Order: sequence, then C-alpha cells, then structure tokens
Amino acid sequence: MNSLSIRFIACTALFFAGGCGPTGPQKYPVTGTVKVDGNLAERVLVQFTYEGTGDVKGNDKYPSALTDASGLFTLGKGSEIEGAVAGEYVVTFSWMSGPELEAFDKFKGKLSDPANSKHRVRVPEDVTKPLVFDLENPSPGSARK
Amino acid sequence: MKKIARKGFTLVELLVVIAIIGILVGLLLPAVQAAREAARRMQCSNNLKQMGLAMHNYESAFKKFPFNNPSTVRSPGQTILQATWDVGLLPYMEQTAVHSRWNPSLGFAEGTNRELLTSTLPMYKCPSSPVPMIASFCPVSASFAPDRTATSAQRFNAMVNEYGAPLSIAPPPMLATTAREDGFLKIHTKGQTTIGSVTDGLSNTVMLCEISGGPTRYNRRTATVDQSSPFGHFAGWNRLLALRMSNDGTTQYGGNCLINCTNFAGLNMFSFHTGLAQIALGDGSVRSLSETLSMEAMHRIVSAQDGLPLLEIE
Repeated sequence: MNSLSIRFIACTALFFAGGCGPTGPQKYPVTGTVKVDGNLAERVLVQFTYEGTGDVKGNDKYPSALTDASGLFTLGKGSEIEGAVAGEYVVTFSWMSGPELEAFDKFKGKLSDPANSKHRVRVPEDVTKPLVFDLENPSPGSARK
Repeated sequence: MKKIARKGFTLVELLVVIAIIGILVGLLLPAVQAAREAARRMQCSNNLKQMGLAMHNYESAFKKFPFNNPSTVRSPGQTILQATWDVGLLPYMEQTAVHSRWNPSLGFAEGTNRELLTSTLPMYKCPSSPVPMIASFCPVSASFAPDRTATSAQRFNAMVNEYGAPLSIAPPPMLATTAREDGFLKIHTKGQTTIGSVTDGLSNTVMLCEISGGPTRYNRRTATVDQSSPFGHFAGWNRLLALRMSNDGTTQYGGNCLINCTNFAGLNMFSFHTGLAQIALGDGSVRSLSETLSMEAMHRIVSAQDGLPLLEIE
C-alpha cells in the first residue's frame, strides 16, 4: 500500500471519528470526597453553581453529583457529560435521607443556599487533585424536615 | 448434439435475487418503522390537542380550569382523590356517559367507580407506548396512599392515562429544599387555576405533557417494576412533579434529566418517541420538548408565574 493510500484512509477515519465526538465547551474532570462530622457520607448532593461571567449555557451552569457509599463523587456522573467547564463555582450541599420519593435534606437546606456558602472552587486550577469537603452537620439528629 | 433446454433458474441466480430482495427490505424496514412511529406520534399529539380544547371548554363553562389531582380526607385514614382533571374533562370529550355515572364522593376504586375505571377512553392512551389500554395496577403503597380505597384490594384493572398536568417545579438547581413554583394546574389547596392567574401567559406555560408507561416503571426504555397506583391510570395522580433524575432514570437528584429518563411518579415528562416529549401549552397548541432540555428552560416553560422569558425548547 503506498503512502498516498494510507494518508487517504487516515484522513477518512479522522473525518468520521471527528463527527461523533461530544460537542460544547471543554469539560474538566472534578472528583472528591465529602465528610460530615468527620465521617465519609453517602448520598450527599454536591452542587456546583457557576458564578463566572463567561458564556456558559444550560445545565453546564449547574454540574452536580451524589456521593457513593465511600463518600466519593465524580462531578457530572449521571448527567450527559461528566466534568465542569472552566470558571468559578460556588459549592453547596444537600444530604439526602434516602433514595425514596419522600427523601429529604438532612441538612434542612442550611448548606444549600449559594449566597451563604463559604465553599468556592475554580476549575481547572483547584481540581487537579481530588477535592475534600469536610462539613459539620448544621442540623445534627434531624429525622424529618 | 441435442441441446437441453433450461427449465429454471440456477442456484446462483436465485441467491443473487434473494440477496437483492434482502438488501431492499433492509433498506425499507427502518423507513416503514419510522413512518409508523410518526403516525403514532401524531395520534399522541392529537390527543393533547383534544385535551387542550376540552380544558378551554371546561374553562368557558366554569371560568376556571379543573383541579389537578385533589385529595380529600374523608375521615381519619380515609383519603380519596376527587375531581381529577381527567374526570373533569370527560363531558368535553364526548364521554358524558362515564362522567354522569362517576360518583365524586367515592374513591376511584370504590363502588361503581371501580367498574368505570375500565372504561375505554382512547384520548388518554398514546399508541407509541407498549402498555395496553386497560392495564393491571398494583394497589397504592401503605406509605404513599393518596387514595386508600385501593389499598385493601389486590391488583385491579384500570384505563391508563399517559398524560399529566404540571403541578409544580423548582427553579434551578432544583434541590429538595428549593421552593417550588406553581405549574399550570396548581395544588388544590391553592384553588383552581384561572386564565388570569397564569401570569406568564397561556402560550408560555405547559398545560399538559406526556407521561407514558401506565403501571410499569420505565427507566429510560427499560421496564423495571410496577409502580404503585394511583400513578398512570384514569382518575389517579396524573401530574408532573418535576424532579431531576440521573440519566439512567434510577436516582433522584443523581443528574439533571427532566425528560424521558423515568416515568416514575410523574417526576419526568416521559414518552416513547425518540429524543422528545410532547406538550400542550395553555393556549391549546401542541409542541415538542427536546429530552436534553436544560433545567432553566424547563423551569421557565413549566412555571406559570416565574416572569422569565422562554428559552429555546426544541
């Protein structure tokens, strides 16, 4: 096979491969863990809310993730595309009581207001290594909302 | 030398013809399936149109729209659903016979209402969905029982309803503690919706949407378990209580999906059409929403009083 044929095949393959990839702005992977009162916590909704001034659209402004049984989260897991676009985010938390329809936030909404959150993350600068959020439960012993 | 006359085709000729026919059928079949689904989708869309017109005829008669899914505590431990929107619309869709026999003082599974549950009401069935028109439903769960008249019974049959009316929605990021705003047919304790109370405008607010699948919980297109009554059947809780789900439809708050990820409990709009769900706006027009619609766009078109301009929806 001569070099012209090889170049032709390579270009064709690149053309088709390029047509199927994800579209939109670049996303950076964001992972981390959440602790509540020193213990790794499951089912904490880690909510990022974009605070920058860039042209970020739709759900890209609100990447989120639930922590697993080991307290680990991967931002955007369960959404269309994982990760977050570059920019500054305020981070809030809701600790869901369970998977059922009547599940409630065990923090009673006290850590879910962006205006009162002290957690801010810059992507990609702050996410080169896993994030660690060490939270104090503002509503200890809460059974129901 | 005597020449032998050919009496048929050779094996090679037959194989070539069969291969050509096979290729043609292979090309044609997807197009035929697509045309059939387009026809079914049009029927679903027509149902929404009819319900939209019926809503306005109801409004002309009563100067307000029907209740969404009101529950009434008849006595301690005895809560029943009364005057749901799909019962209220019956006289305006040529179903007066069912409506006149419906007893509003009984639950949907009590007395003569139980028999009427299996009335054939084709306008509430979307043919794109695989569930039968009359399907078998589980009784309501003990922990979640808006109408307990069915709790003591075994499974019962009911006419499916594959459409829902938006009850409420929270603005993004749609957390459990975010205050919810009224949808088109708000919660009954706030009274009935009037044209004037839809301050965003009738053409900017979803009145009805698809929530297909009847008694079966679907996560994406995968049938999982039976969901409890009263979801998905006539005279039940046919309402959209928009809540973000994971992309696979299994986990609440596990993602930001609001369309076609699950039909469970009316948490998503849900259809069996590819990539979309259909809606009727308050002015009676029928549109499609892309299943990748953002939380922001969904909130603006479902909330009846958010005061924000619509975003692109298709």
